[in-house]
Amino acid sequence: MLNKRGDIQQLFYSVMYMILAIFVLLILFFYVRNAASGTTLKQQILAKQIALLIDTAQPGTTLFIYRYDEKSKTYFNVDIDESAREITVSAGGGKILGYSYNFFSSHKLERSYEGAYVKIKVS
Amino acid sequence: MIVSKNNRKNKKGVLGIEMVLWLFRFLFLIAIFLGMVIVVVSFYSARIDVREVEAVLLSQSFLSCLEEQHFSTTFFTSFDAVAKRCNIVLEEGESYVNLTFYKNDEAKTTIGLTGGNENLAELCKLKTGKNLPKCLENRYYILIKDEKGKSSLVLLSINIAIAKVLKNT
Repeated sequence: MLNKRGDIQQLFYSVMYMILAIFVLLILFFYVRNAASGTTLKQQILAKQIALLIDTAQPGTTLFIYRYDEKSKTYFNVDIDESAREITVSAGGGKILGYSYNFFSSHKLERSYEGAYVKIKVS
Repeated sequence: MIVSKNNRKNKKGVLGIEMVLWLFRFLFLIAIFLGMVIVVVSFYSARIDVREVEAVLLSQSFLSCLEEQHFSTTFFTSFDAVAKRCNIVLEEGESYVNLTFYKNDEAKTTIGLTGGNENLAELCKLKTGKNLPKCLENRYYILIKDEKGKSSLVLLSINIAIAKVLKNT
């Protein structure tokens, strides 16, 4: 009886360990895939380009920025935090997996999506 | 009775060893994960430095804004007032701006306005070193109208330093 209970406990630990290992490997797989396809780098480039465009834009300007990545076939999400004056570009996963960059312009910004483009209205 | 006590002791010992073994397995998994992340980051990551462009844009923003403003005493009281009027918000601790106006009047009036992290200005004086900010110094002659509408030529010196080291290097 005691041995069986011990075995069951051992099996439970092994299964838990296997699940954790698979979970870690999956995260690793997606991370490496993202890094190798250049998505991480593209997020950084897009975030910095948009931040610089916003800094240059005068009130009344509307910016249209292409947000589709042909290689990974994903649409980048562009989020603007006006209070923190920060732009975040992510391929899903939000701020944690995305890339954020600050801009200095304090003009009012309105963000919307138009197909493969992100529209930013500066007013 | 004695036998059962020994058994209990042995079980506790086995459990302790097993716990240590599981701990090592978890640590091994974490080590593999971190190792892979470090290798991937060092192999694939690249930082694009946009601080020089940013400094130029900041300088241009101040210049174009100041050209449009009237050279009134109320406008030039503080850096924050100028920045607010020019719709510019500096990132806390990451940027430094110094605006100095040299008026070409009889009294040779000089007005200096400073905003942001002043430590960055000292770092700009260093020529070599790690994690230094990007610095820009520009001088312009600008025509500014006073409250009476009279135009006067003013030498404007703009000093800018942008740190943002983690995001750009």
